[in-house]
Formats: sequence, structure tokens, C-alpha cells
Amino acid sequence: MPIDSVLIVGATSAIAHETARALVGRTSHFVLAARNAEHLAVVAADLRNRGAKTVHTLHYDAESHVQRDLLAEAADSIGTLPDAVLIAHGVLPRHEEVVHDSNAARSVLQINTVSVLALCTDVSRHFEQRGSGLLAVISSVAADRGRMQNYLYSASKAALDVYLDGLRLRWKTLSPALRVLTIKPGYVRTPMTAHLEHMILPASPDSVGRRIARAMLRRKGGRMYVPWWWALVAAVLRRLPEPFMLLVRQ
Amino acid sequence: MRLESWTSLPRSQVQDYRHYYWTDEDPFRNAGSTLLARGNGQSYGDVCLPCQQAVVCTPLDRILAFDRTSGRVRVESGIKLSELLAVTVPAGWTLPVIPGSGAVTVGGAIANDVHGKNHHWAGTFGCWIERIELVRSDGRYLCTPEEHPELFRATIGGLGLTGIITWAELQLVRCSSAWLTVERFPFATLDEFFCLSEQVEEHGNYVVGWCDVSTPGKYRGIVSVARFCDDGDFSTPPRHVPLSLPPMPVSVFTRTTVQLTSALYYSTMRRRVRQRMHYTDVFFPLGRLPWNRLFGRRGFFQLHAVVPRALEREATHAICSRLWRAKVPLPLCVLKRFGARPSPGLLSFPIEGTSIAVDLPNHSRSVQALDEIITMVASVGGRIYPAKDAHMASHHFQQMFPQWHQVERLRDPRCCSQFWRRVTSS
Ligand SMILES: Cc1cc2nc3c(=O)[nH]c(=O)nc-3n(C[C@H](O)[C@H](O)[C@H](O)COP(=O)(O)OP(=O)(O)OC[C@H]3O[C@@H](n4cnc5c(N)ncnc54)[C@H](O)[C@@H]3O)c2cc1C
Ligand SMILES: NC(=O)c1ccc[n+]([C@@H]2O[C@H](COP(=O)([O-])OP(=O)(O)OC[C@H]3O[C@@H](n4cnc5c(N)ncnc54)[C@H](OP(=O)(O)O)[C@@H]3O)[C@@H](O)[C@H]2O)c1
Repeated sequence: MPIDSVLIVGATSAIAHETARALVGRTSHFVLAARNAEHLAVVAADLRNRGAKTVHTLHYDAESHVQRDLLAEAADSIGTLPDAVLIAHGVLPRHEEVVHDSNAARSVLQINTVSVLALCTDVSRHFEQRGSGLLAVISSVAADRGRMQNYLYSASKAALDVYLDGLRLRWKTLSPALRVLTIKPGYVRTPMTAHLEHMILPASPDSVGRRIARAMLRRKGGRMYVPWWWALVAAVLRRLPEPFMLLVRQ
Repeated sequence: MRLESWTSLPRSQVQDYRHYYWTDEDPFRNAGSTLLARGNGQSYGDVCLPCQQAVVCTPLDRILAFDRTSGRVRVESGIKLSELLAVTVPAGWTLPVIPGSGAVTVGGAIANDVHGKNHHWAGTFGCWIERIELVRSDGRYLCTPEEHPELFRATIGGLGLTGIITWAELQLVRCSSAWLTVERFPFATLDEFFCLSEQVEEHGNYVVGWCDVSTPGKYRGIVSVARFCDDGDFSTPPRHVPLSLPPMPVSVFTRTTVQLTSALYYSTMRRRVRQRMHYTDVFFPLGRLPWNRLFGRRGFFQLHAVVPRALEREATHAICSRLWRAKVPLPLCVLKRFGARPSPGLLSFPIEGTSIAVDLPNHSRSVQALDEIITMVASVGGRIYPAKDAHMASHHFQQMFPQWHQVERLRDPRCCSQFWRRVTSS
């Protein structure tokens, strides 16, 4: 089944925008949700000018506590429930700024975890009702192991992995047309990582976006590392005894 | 990651750089004392190297507006020309001016006021620019030929010194296919090259000469003339995976291998009289080859000069024979006649005459030849292309581009490049 329509939450993210570009041509209808209205308008125009048939935009702030059923709103704007949802928004805090500040930590968890899982809950209800749909969520390699420098971020993403693992199992029992894709990028050169001094072999957002789009179009499920070799790194990282983890400073 | 120029010369690696993600950000805030906009680093010399900090504009790659009926497009400055063409060509529009690399960004194409194989009818990239938004340390400027006209003219070919271009609006030209017919005409002497090119310089043609300078006296070569087909075929050929190579420790070019490959190229191409080719293969012939890596770690120079019409034959001949006497491998020499269409840009390189571009390995004999040729070009009223230069002396630059004073006056005090520091110090 092709992906003719998609809802992208956090559409102004560099990775999400590149994914959307790579979907243009195969996907006709886009509903984009994001916080910054000006940036969102630019992203929408770019996709239209590159050949997307219809592009709708929704304002969405993940820090707002008003629960929104974005998928229902998207269905209203294009007249049908989208075939797929990509959730991409997130923040990577400077660890020293959140490590002892519970308000700052709460805000990271609200954006990266609470808002995402709340969205996933609505999505799962709609998709299960219809019996089909692809839910793709951007998590991170960081979720695989807590490290000294950014364990709050790791924790915020690890919750997504675990939730999506469970949902995937549930959907497997319901219908083969229900798919969950957990996207786990390594370092990517985007505004989010602009403040990082050292990155290990950073990928470009367009290569990551193309890879995500390809997986979505093939309706791939499961956990996907991007680039693929992060799977090997993560496998080692997960098993590394703690004394060695003390040496991992990145 | 470190940034350098395409040729790795001058030897300077930029460690201090930031990416420019959204046009509403102010790149001058919390930044180093001087900045330089950077496109995709396709320049051969130090015009793309900052004195202090580089602002990498490639994330600004969004198409803000594209009117498919009028062919007017507004794009952010970091979009690569190949990426823009991939969107506009299927809609029947092509860029009016296309340089030899598709990896060049729109900002870089404006700042070096680049030219293509159709200079005789289309002029330079700057001739097609309608509006530019420029961010300077004291604010934002919308520049058109009417609004801030001085700044507009200084920014076209302005080498990034007048500020950072966030977006530009330009006019495209119609094309009725993604394919071109290419015809090839061999020439046995430089004189023949001039006669041949003159005959084929029609509106709509893309003309370029390849010349074998590895054998003395003759300077034979091939003039190729391309023209967009009229067949409405917008299909793309199967994608070639670009070859990737680690940097070669030493140059693969020797005088013997270059002589042999040039002879082979000449005899193959003279028989391929007529061919239908996709636009990417016509415009970006080096696209599939990591050309800059073949010269080894020492890097290479490019001599890219233009000599005025009245003296073009003698001067081109003199340049070729001086090159030959340098006794270094010369794997690529490209000849092209520029037309008379003026550019609005103050520091624009093309003048009516003939341009010659030659790659030389980094070697003391090359440097000697470069010195002599640059002096000669200056003495006949010709110019050296700043985008390709890593070598010319400041007095030569100032003689060739007397308008540099005006650009210096309009330069943002917080923008500077290693090139500008080199050619304006005296
Ligand atoms: C294989 C190859 C073939 C080429 N063929 C041709 C040709 O046929 N004709 C031709 O004219 N040139 C040619 N060039 C040269 C190339 O077109 C120019 O050097 C071009 O300017 C490079 O663009 P860039 O985006 O890589 O910019 P860079 O090299 O990164 O920068 C070039 C200049 O543009 C400025 N700049 C970049 N972005 C901005 C911005 N947003 N705002 C303000 N200033 C900016 C920089 O400060 C710098 O001064 C060729 C280069 C290669 C590698
Ligand atoms: N870059 C990496 O190395 C990397 C690695 C692994 C995973 N990831 C994940 O990839 C995803 C995309 O990030 P990116 O790399 O593309 O970075 P990015 O371009 O900075 O995108 C982050 C996006 O999140 C949005 N966002 C932040 N807070 C928000 C809020 N309260 N409400 C709504 N939107 C909000 C931002 O919108 P605003 O513009 O409004 O701030 C922005 O569009 C993130 O989930 C990130 O965790 C990134």
C-alpha cells in the first residue's frame, strides 16, 4: 500500500524536512505540524515548489498541556485519515543545564516523551480503528545506553523505544497493515547538534531523510539505525561493562 | 570536519565555522569579529576562505517561490544548482547560466558572478538576478537594480564581502527537454579554434573548446556545441554513482600519461560527431570524477584568464606556449570565447574576449609559469578569475579590477576573506 498522505509532526526539523522532500513524488498530501509558524510556512512552500500536490499546516507546541488530536485535525484538513504519521520534534539539552534543574528536565521530558507518547496514543486509536497505518517516530541511538553526558536525553528517548516495541507487538496481532517504525539516527548535522563540539562521523540530514523516506515507503517496521552501522556501535555500547562506560566521554 | 578550498590551495584549513540554518537568524550575533559566507567550497582558491569565521550557507536550501508560468524563482542562497535544476527542468525551465559544477550554490554563483558555456548570449549569472536579500552587520537590505543599486552591483561578483546573501530571485529560461544534442568539431590549430567558435556562437548554443596543450606547436582540440533538444523528453538517465576516491598521495598525472590520454580523448571525440546527452552530462562533465583528488596531496592551481578580443589570438597562443615550456603535466585546458553582454557586477570577471582555463600541478615550475602568464595577461588588459586564483599579486589584481575601491567602500566591515586580505594589501 503506498503512502499517499502523511502527517509530519515537528515538520521544521531538518531531518523531517529532508524526509518530506524525499517523499515528494510518491506522496501527494502533506499535513505539517510545527511550533514556529514562519519556519513552517517556508518548509510548506519548499515542498509545494518541489511538487507536493497539497500541503496543509497546523500550529503545534509540544510544551502546551492542552491535548490535541493532531491526526483528527489532519484528517479534517485533507478529508481523509493520513496513511502515515512521522513524529520528529525533540530537543537535545545541554546536559549541564538540566542535570540539577527539575523544571528544565520536566520541559525536556514533556517535549521528547510526554507529548510524543500522547500523540502515539491518539494515532494508535485511529489506525487501529481503520486497521492500517504506519507510525514512524524519531528516537535516537542515545536511547540504547545512559551515558555520563546526556542521560536525561537518553532516558527521554528510551521511553519511546519501549513504548513503540510494545505497540509493535500489539499491532502484529491485529493486522499486517499496521506498522511501527522506530528510527534511531546517530549524530546528524542539524540545528539540534550545532552546539556539540565533537560528533562521531556525523551524517547529513538529507542522507538520513532519504533513508527514512525509503523505509517508510516500503512500510518497514522495527527499529532502524541510520546510518546502519550505528546498530553495531549500539550493540557494543549496550553490553559495555560500566568501568568501560566511564571512558566513553562523547 | 575542516573546510578548505576545492584545490586544497592555499594550504589553509578552516576550523572555525558555523552553519546558517534559518534566514531569520542573525549570523553576526555572537559571532567572531569577522565572518565570510561560504557556499559549497567549489572555489579553487582563497575567495572561500575566511580570515576568521566561516558561515556555511548550505542548509539554506529551500525553494521559496517558483512560478511555473513566468519562470521566476526565489531560492535561499545555499541551494545547489544541480538540485534546483532537478526541480525546474522537468517543469520546462533551466538556469540561464550554468558553470561547470552542479555543486555550486546560488550564493556562490552570485558572489563570483559565474559564467557558463553560453556567455556569448546569456552573460553572467548576475545578469539574471532580480532581487537579493543581504544580511549585513548593521541590518537587512533588499537589493535590486533600483533599491540600493550600489550594494546590488557590489554584491554581484562581490566575493561575499558585502554581507551574507540569504535569498535571491532570478529569472529562468525555457527549455523543452532535459536532453541536448552535442556536435563536435575538431580543430588542428588555435586559429581554427577561433574561426570555428565564431561560426557557432548562436543564441541558445552552449560552446566550449577543449585543447590539447601537451604537444607543442599545434594545440589541436575539439569545439563542442550543445543545444537543448525540442522533443519534450524530461526523462533522466540511470543514475551514475559518483566515483569516490581517498585523496591520492601523489598526482596521477605525468607528462607521458597526459599526452597519451589527451591523444586518446582527441581521437575518440573527433569521431563522436553527434551525440544526444542529458543536461547533467553536458554541463557537469567532471561531476562523476573526484578531479581535485587526482592531483595528490600537494593540490593544484588553476590558471583562468581572459584576454580582450583585439589581442585574443596572439595572447592565447603566448599563454599556451608558455604553459608548454613549464614542462609540467597539463591534463585539462578549456577555451571559451566571452561575448559582449555586460554584467551589473562591479568585480565581475568576464570581459569580451577569450578565456582560457588550465589546471597545473603544485610545482615550482608551474608557479614560475603562472607568474609570467599573469604579468602578461595584465599587460594586455586581461584579467585573472578570482574564483580560481590562489596566486596573483595584489598590484595585478588592483590593475585588473580597478573597481575594487568601490567594493572596498561597500564591504561590510565585519566581512573578510583571505583572498581580499591578500590582494588588497600592498
Ligand atoms: C569542477 C568545477 C567547474 C567550475 N566551472 C566553472 C565555470 O564554468 N564557470 C565559472 O564561472 N566558475 C566555475 N567554477 C567555479 C565555481 O563556479 C565558483 O567558484 C563558485 O563561486 C563556487 O560556489 P560555491 O557555492 O561553492 O561557493 P564557495 O566556493 O564556498 O564561495 C565562493 C564565494 O562566494 C561567497 N559566497 C558563498 N555563499 C554566499 C552567500 N550566501 N552570500 C554571500 N556570499 C557568498 C563566498 O564568500 C566566496 O567569496 C567551477 C568550479 C568547479 C569545482
Ligand atoms: N541531530 C541529531 O544528531 C539527532 C540524532 C538522533 C536523533 N535525533 C532526533 O531527530 C529529531 C529531529 O531533530 P533534528 O536533528 O532534525 O533537529 P532540529 O532541526 O533542531 O529539529 C528539532 C525540531 O523539534 C522542534 N521542537 C522543539 N521543541 C518543540 C516544541 N516544544 N513544540 C514543537 N516542536 C518543537 C523544533 O521546532 P522549533 O523550530 O520550533 O524549535 C525543531 O523543528 C529529534 O527528535 C531528535 O531528537 C537527532
